[in-house]
Amino acid sequence: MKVPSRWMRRRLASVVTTIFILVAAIVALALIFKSAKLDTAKMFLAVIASISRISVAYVLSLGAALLFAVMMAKSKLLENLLLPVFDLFQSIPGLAILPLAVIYFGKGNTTAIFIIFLAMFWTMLFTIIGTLKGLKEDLSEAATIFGATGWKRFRYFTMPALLPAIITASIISWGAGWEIIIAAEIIGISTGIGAFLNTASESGQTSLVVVGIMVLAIVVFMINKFIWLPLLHKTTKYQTE
Amino acid sequence: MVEALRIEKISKTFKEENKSVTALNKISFDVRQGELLAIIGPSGCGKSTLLKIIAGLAKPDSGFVRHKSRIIAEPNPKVTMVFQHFALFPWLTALENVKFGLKMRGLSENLQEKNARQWLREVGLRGSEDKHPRELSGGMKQRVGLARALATDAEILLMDEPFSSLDAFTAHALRQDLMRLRLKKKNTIILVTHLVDEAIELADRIIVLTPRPGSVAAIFENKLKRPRNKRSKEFFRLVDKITKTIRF
Repeated sequence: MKVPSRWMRRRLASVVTTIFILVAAIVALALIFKSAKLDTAKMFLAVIASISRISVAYVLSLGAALLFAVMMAKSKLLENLLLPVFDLFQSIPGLAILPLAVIYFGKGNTTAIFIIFLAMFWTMLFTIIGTLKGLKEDLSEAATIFGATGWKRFRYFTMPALLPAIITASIISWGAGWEIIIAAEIIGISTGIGAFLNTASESGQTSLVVVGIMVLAIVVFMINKFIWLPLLHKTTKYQTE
Repeated sequence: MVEALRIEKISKTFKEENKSVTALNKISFDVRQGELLAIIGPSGCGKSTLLKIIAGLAKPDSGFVRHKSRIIAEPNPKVTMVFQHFALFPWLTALENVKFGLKMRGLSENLQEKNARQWLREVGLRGSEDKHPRELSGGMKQRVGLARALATDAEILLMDEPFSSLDAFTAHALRQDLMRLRLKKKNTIILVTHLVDEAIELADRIIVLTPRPGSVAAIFENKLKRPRNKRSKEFFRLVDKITKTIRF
C-alpha cells in the first residue's frame, strides 16, 4: 500500500505544479496582449541579460570557491591565513559594494557580475569547506590507499564527494543571485529585468510591471524545476548510507 | 622464511590540547611473506594507528616500516586495505568501487572491467555489480571492500577489524571466504582484531599489544591444523594462553 500512495502523492504534486505553470503562463500572456505598449523582445532580452549575468557570476564563483576550498583543505597555513580575511569580507553586505563597484566598473555587465559573484561566492566557499571537513576520514583514506592523487583524485574522488553539497549551495546561491541582481539593476545598473521593471514602474505602466514579475517567476520556477531539482535528486540519491 | 615487512621501533605520540598521549612505544616485529598475522590488544592500544603507519597513511615519530629494502613512508601500491566501516564510495556501484583502484593505477578499461567482475564473483556478489552501497547489506558491503582490495596487485593486505561491524553469522561467513580466497591470492595479511577467537581461527601468528602506550607484549605461533575447530581442547588452551597475556 505504501508504494502506490507515495507514487500518487508525487503524481499529484507534479500535476499541481504543471497547472501552476499553465495558469501563470496564460495570465502572463493575457496581460502581454492587454498591454499595447509592451515590446516583448525587449523584455525577453532584459531577462536574458539578467540570466547571463547570474550564469557567468555562478561559473566564476563555483570555480573560485572550489579552488580556494581545496587549497585551504590542503594547507593548514593557507587556511589560517585566509579564513579570518574571508570571515571579515563575508560580513560586508553585497549591495553596499555596489556604489564602489559602479565607480570602478561603470553601470554595465562587469559591475553586475561582480556584485552577483560576491553574493554567491561566500555560500559556495563555506559550504564546500564544511563538506570537505565533514568527509568521512576513512573515505578519504580509501581514496589514498587506492592510489587517487592529483587531478585524478580531484576528478574521481573530491568532485563526486562534493557534488551534492555543490548542488545545494548552487540552489541557494542562485536564489541570492536573483535577489541581488534585480536590486542592483533597479538601483544602479541600466539594463536587465530589474531595470526593465523599474522603468515600467516609473512611467506608471502597472500592467507591464506585473507582466515582468510573472515572466520572471516562470523563468526562475522553470530553472529550479528542470535544472536544479533533477540534479539534486540525482546527486543525493546514493549519498546517504 | 622470507620477510615481507620489518616494523622497526615505531613510536607515535598524539598531542591533545595541553597533554600528549603516547599511542605506540617502540614497536618492533617482522611480518613473514604469505602469513596471516593477527594484531590483538585492548581498545586504545594503538592497533589502528599502527596499521595506518604500515599503510603509509600516518607518519611515526620515530622508527620505520621496511618492505624488502625500501622504507614505506607513503601510501604505496604494494599495500592495500579493508576498512572497519567498509569505506565504499557511495556514489559508485559495487563494480565501480572495485574498479576504482585499477582505474587510478591506469589499467585499461577492459582490464578494469574484467578484473573487477572476476573479484566480485569470487566474493559471491555476481548479480550485484550495478548496485550502490546503500542498496547492499553490511556483509555485502564488506565483500565489495574485500574484492576492491584483492583486485589490486598489492602483496600486503591490511584489515582493520574487518568483521567487527557485522553480525555474528555474516562475520563467520566472511571469515570462511577470506580463508578460501587467501589460498588463491596468497597475500601477506595483517589483521587487526580485538577478538582472541577470531585471531586464533584465522592467524598463523598472533601479536599481543599492551594497553596504551602500545608495545609488543607477546608473540604466539599458531600451529593448530586448518580448518580449525573452535571447540577443540587445543583451541581453548591457546585462547587461555593468549588471554592471560592481555592486560586491560
